Amino acid sequence: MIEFRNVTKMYDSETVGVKNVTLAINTKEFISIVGQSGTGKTTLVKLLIAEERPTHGRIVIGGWDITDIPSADIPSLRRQIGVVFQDYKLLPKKTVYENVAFALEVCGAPSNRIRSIVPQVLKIVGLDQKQHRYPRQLSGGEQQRVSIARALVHGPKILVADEPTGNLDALNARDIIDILIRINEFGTTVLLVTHNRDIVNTLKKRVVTLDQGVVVADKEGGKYIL
Amino acid sequence: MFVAFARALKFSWQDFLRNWWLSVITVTVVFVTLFSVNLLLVWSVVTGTVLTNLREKVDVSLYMKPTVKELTVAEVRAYLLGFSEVKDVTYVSRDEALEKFKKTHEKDDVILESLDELTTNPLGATLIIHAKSAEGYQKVVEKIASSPYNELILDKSFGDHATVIDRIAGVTQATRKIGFVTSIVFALIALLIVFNTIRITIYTHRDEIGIMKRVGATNWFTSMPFLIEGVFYGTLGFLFATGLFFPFLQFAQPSFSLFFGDYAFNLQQYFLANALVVFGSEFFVVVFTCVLSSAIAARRYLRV
Repeated sequence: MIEFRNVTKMYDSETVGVKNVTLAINTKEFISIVGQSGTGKTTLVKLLIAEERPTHGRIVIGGWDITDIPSADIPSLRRQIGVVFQDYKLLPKKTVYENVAFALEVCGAPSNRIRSIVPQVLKIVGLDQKQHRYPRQLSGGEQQRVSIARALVHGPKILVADEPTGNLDALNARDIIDILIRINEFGTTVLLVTHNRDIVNTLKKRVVTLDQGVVVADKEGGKYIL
Repeated sequence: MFVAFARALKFSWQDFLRNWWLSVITVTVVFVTLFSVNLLLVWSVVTGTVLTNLREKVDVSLYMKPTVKELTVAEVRAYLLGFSEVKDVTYVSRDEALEKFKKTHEKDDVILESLDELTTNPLGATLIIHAKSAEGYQKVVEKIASSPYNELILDKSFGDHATVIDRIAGVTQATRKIGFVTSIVFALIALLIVFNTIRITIYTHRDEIGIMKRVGATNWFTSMPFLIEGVFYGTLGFLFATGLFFPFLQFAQPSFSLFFGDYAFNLQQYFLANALVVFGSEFFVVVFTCVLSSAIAARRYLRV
């Protein structure tokens, strides 16, 4: 379970990231965090992977209070959470295979395990035929699928997708969401951050709505209300 | 740990090859910098050695009166050897002095005939003084002038050489100072160039560093490939600079020999004899600078 307990993040005395957010996300849940640009959705993701520290409140993941997590423990935290970014964040000088394998290599996984798992994950996202290509040789949708494969490959219990369809056309966006749904069905908690109204409305899952850093709605089977 | 290091080594080699254009530029900068340092070294060695040779050619001769006995000349010689400025004193006997004089003037019949007219050797013994430094001659001459042996001396050659000796002493001191200051300034500039080149190289990787951190890489795992790449840049730049330096010396030797004549020496042999000190320290400094620059530059982008 992921818990945000009355979390506030101030970037300076006037700039609010999120304010008094209290949120509990259950294991194996699929949750959408929605809201317009600049409402604090990405701040929540950054707080979750300890890229930012809360100004007030506490964040607990699976019983682990990461509010004041020491810098040395951050890599361990990030290895347990898969993150998919809007701009893919792929390593440009590594191939598709190497990008995905990298997430396992940083964990110290044995080479034979990497050689067996990476092709399987690439098959799941439909890129097994393009594993030797570089990111620049792929379409946006394909790059996002590589990003998902990398986030998945070390078997995280939580997958955070921050605007994963932001740079994609409707068809590719639908593909990515389908992959996220499948991942959730395998038992991974999925936290989808988006401002795509159509996608949220068709998902019919729990929707948390943020407005100016504050949670204004939290509904099971909810819709994009802003 | 071994697996992590092997992976860091693999990443750095991949990155070095895949960013080949950046690698070529960085290695070239290291190479040009080191080669320039080597040229400055050649200049320093050549001027130093030539000036030392010139200084060794300079001496002061004391021409004793013909009446001074051999035993007394030996006493003067021992007295001179007691000076801290004196390196060596060569004794030329009256007979040797006469022989030398005749040889010098062998084509001058008038002088030779005049000598034959004389029944005794008109020349006194000569003491040739070599000082430890060009600056020492003036002091030696002053000490002799105030000593009880001054009356035994007919003439000194110092007056003829004074200007040359002063000039050599001045040039030596100035060259040493200029060489030292130039070397320090140039070495600092060279290190700054290498430092900034590596920083720019790491700057181009700043996004990648952020990505590595976001997928759970530790600071060590993220920065190690860049440190190893720093070793690659430094080592390759050093190998090119050193490898091309010896052919350059071979190419420059004839011009050097022609220009400096008797004072020239074998440049390649000199640098081979001092290879461990010269190139060992160059290798250590350049690789250390590359690694340090990489570490400092990468550290800045690790805060993700």
